Amino acid sequence: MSSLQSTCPSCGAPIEFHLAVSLMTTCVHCGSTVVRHDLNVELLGKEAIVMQDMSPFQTGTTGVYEGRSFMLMGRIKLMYDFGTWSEWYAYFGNNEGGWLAEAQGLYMMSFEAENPPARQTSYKPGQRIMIGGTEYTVDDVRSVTYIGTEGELPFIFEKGFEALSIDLSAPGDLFANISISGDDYHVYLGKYAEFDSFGFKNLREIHGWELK
Amino acid sequence: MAGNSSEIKPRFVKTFSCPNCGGTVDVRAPGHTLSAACIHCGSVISTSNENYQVIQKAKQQLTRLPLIPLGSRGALAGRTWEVIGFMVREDIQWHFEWEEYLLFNPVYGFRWLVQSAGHWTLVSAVTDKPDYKGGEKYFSYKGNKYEQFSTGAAKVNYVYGEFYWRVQVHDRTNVADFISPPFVLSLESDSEGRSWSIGEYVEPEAVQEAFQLKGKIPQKESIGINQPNPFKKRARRMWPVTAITVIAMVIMQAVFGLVTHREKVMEKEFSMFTPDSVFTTGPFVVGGRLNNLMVTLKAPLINAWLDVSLSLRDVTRNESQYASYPLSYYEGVEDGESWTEGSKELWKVMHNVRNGEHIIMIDAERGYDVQVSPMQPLFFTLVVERNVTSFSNFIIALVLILLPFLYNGIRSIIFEGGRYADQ
Repeated sequence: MSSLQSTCPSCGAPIEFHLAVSLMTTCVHCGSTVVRHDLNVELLGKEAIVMQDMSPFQTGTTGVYEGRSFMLMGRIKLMYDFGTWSEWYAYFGNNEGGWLAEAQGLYMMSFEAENPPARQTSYKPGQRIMIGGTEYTVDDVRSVTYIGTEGELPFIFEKGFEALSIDLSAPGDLFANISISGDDYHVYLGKYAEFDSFGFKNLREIHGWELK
Repeated sequence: MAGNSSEIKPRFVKTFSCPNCGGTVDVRAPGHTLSAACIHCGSVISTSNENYQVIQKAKQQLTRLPLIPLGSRGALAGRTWEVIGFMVREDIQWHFEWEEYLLFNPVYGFRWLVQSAGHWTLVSAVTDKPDYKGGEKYFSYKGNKYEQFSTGAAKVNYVYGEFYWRVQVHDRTNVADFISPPFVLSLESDSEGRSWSIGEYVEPEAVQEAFQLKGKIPQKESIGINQPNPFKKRARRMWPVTAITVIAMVIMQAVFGLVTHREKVMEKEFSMFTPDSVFTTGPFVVGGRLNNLMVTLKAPLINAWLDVSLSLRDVTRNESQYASYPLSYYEGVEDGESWTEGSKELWKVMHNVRNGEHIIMIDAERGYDVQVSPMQPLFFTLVVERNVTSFSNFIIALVLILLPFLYNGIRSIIFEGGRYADQ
């Protein structure tokens, strides 16, 4: 991995960008959000975002998806009307990354689609959409807000960023997500998978629970 | 596995004050659950952020305590679960109630443990949704055939503890159940959308052991909707062996019939002029591989009867076997319909007839229903055949082999009847 070492503009603690694709990280010492500009770093905000939840993951957790190893580098925490979930950036090497969604014991790994379907004017639960020859059904349509971050991410996180997030599924545990914000339109394709299928290592300890 | 629950570290519980009554409310799955019912006043409070707004003010009386206390941990299906919520739901049409325990594990998420009339089912969310268009009586899902069992609507009567959605007392949803015991697929729908879940039957003893329930658990009443049918399982398990045995027997019987060439030993006609006569066949020799002899009696009777007692005598060994042939045949016309009764022919198989010289003695007696005078002579025929394939042993064996299978099959049908009886 090509890494960049620097110091936190806020507290002076050493910080490191492990991936060439990483554009921002959080200082593990003071929680500041730090953005990378080639060889310099910029302090974006100093707000200790306490990820007070019971996630079993942390930066550095490794796993295997469809025979390929990955490491979780960081996450975004999103909120909608009725709850929160996390999207972990999973780095597979060779500048390739996927997103591991973690929502109430469900795990979905997805990758940005190279040939996304045409954007529709509206999305409703139950609606059928063809993506790459497969018919997906819209399960839910939610307005989401980015509320927090942790670790390294391949884009610059904006707290309070709002988007429309559409979850779709198809037989065979196929999963898709459409994310829309203004002119931004991204489609991610992947699968639902059982926690145990990933063979996770270096998991976070969950207070009060013993994981094998 | 169940033993783990006693070794668990201090529990992770977050608390806040109920905005309605000020009592302490526990949150056991922060970040995962969205609402909690205050155990003091019964109000439902939003836990999605730290403002703790009241979703529904005390609309219920906290009278029903869950049998498995909130905070209990137990191992089911190989994983440890903590009970964090409890609700009672009711079928709107038939007014029966059932209980649902919400189970939580920070890694595996949520499960429901449903208790209905003493039957328990462990339910999880379905991510790979069934290909169900709506209205089908049957459909396949992951190799099992599901049958629609019931459709209806359910409402929430009572909530206690925390939930991963904003639960409210009186919430209504449409529910359709499809069964393939021990599994049940449920489709719940409301204006917001629809969701599938899959449940698997759990024996009450497994629940009792998992959560170390000291007290009594509800007795099983009738048959659970997804309770496995033990007779069907047994009948299914027996089916291949039974089928193979029956096929093998039929083949053996057929081969036997082919290789054993039936051979006529003797055929003789007797003339009978009086009501009683005694005849003898004279000595005849039998040989061959099978130790049986089929003796057939044929008489051209019309509205008459013939009773014959045979004695088959093994001349060499000086042994005898006996058989009787009560033969009668009647016919007539009644109300424009012709009828017949009895037969003009009867055969019997004598066993253990060894090779050698034999003789048959015949003691015959005959009569008419309506006395005809003078008596007509009767010519009857006796046919003796060797190497007859016996069907009696075959039939007895067949019945014995099929009996356990039929027994379980019938019990299975009765069991399935019971499953539907209470709906």
